[in-house]
Amino acid sequence: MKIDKIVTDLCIIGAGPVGLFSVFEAGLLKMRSHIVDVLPQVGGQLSEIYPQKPIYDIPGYPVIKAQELIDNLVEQIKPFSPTYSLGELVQEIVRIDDHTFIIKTNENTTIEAKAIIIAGGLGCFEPRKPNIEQLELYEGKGVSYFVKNVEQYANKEIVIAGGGDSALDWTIELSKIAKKVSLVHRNNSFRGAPDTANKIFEMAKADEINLILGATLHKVVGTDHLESVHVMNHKGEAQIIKTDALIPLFGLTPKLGPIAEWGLNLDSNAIQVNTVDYSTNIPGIYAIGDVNTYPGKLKLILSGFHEAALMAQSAFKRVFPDEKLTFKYTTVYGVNAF
Amino acid sequence: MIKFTVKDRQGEERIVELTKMPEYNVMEILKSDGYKMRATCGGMGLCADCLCRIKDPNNLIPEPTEQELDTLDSIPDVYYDSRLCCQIKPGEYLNDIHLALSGVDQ
Repeated sequence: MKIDKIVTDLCIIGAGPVGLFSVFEAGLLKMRSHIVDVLPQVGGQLSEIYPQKPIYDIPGYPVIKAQELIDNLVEQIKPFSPTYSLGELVQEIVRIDDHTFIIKTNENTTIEAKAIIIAGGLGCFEPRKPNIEQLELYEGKGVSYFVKNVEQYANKEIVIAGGGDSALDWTIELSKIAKKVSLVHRNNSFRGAPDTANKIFEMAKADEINLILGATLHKVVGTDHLESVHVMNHKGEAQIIKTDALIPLFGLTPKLGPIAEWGLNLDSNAIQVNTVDYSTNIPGIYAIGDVNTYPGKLKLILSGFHEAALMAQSAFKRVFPDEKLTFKYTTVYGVNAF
Repeated sequence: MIKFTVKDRQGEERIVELTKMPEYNVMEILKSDGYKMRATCGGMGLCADCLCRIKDPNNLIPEPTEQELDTLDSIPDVYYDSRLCCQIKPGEYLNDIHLALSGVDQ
């Protein structure tokens, strides 16, 4: 159990481009930052959804790949030594006094900060769930969307659903320890890595896995635990697979998540802010980037960068209430690391 | 004039009319016509927020792009007529189609 508390000036929720750039703007004003993100890596949707896609509207870059932009931002903020809690979801925010918040994550990390910057994009990435009746009833009782502990599948019968790389990879991996792995995919072929797909077909031929193609998940059945999965082919013919576990692997999709429970004024899943400094209705909590909304809002990375700069000027007054804020150009003063 | 039917995620149907051929894709056409589209990836065919089912009586809609096939292959609740609105360019072939939205609105 973690007992240490991370003490920082700003707690930034979201490690996308805007969250990362906030570290830079805060650092110029001598504010320290700690970043929390539910994904195991920084970069937000740029790294998770489209790392190799070119972006054409970052000032100064005629074209830059999404992951390259993230890598550059990580490099740019290094002088300010940000700390990270990656793979963690902020679940609770408690206001201790006018200048202190306590932020708690699902991994029991506790962060004490003077201001909170929500740069959560479209929310936290969660598994994309198939639309099957009563599926949620068996979550944690046989149904899981991640493989966290491989050992729990030893000598078990498992159904994996999906046709992407992660479905294929886990089928191969879990077949080494499971009693039986069935892979269900709606098509008759796989579009992922050809080597992996070939391996899957070879394993099916050798009877090492049960490959069910041209079929989709239809029904889950059980009592206090999942007992079987019904799949249906394109002709409407059902097949029942007795199983201990179902792992649907259909990628991730963003959901607003716990942010909706923090008492912030929302408008269509976005946080309403004051455009003077991108503050929310709760003093000390700011929202920048795609997660906020205001008249004229454009969901662009460059807009988020601008919002980060204005936020930092305002947050400074909360972090250092007794100090004067002097506007400084990096061309004159450089970047003073700490 | 191009006319096609759109069924929103609440089940309400309406005719969408295009008087001139826009440059952008069907996802943007629907967005500018008032339909809510979260469009996490902005139209790259990656997020499936604009997932829909299309009935095409004339069978003229262009085949899915490679990107579209990749994405459709990796998400749940996909049918033989599922498409991604953002990967369909406007054209005369949109006439008479019936498009039912099923992705994410906001």
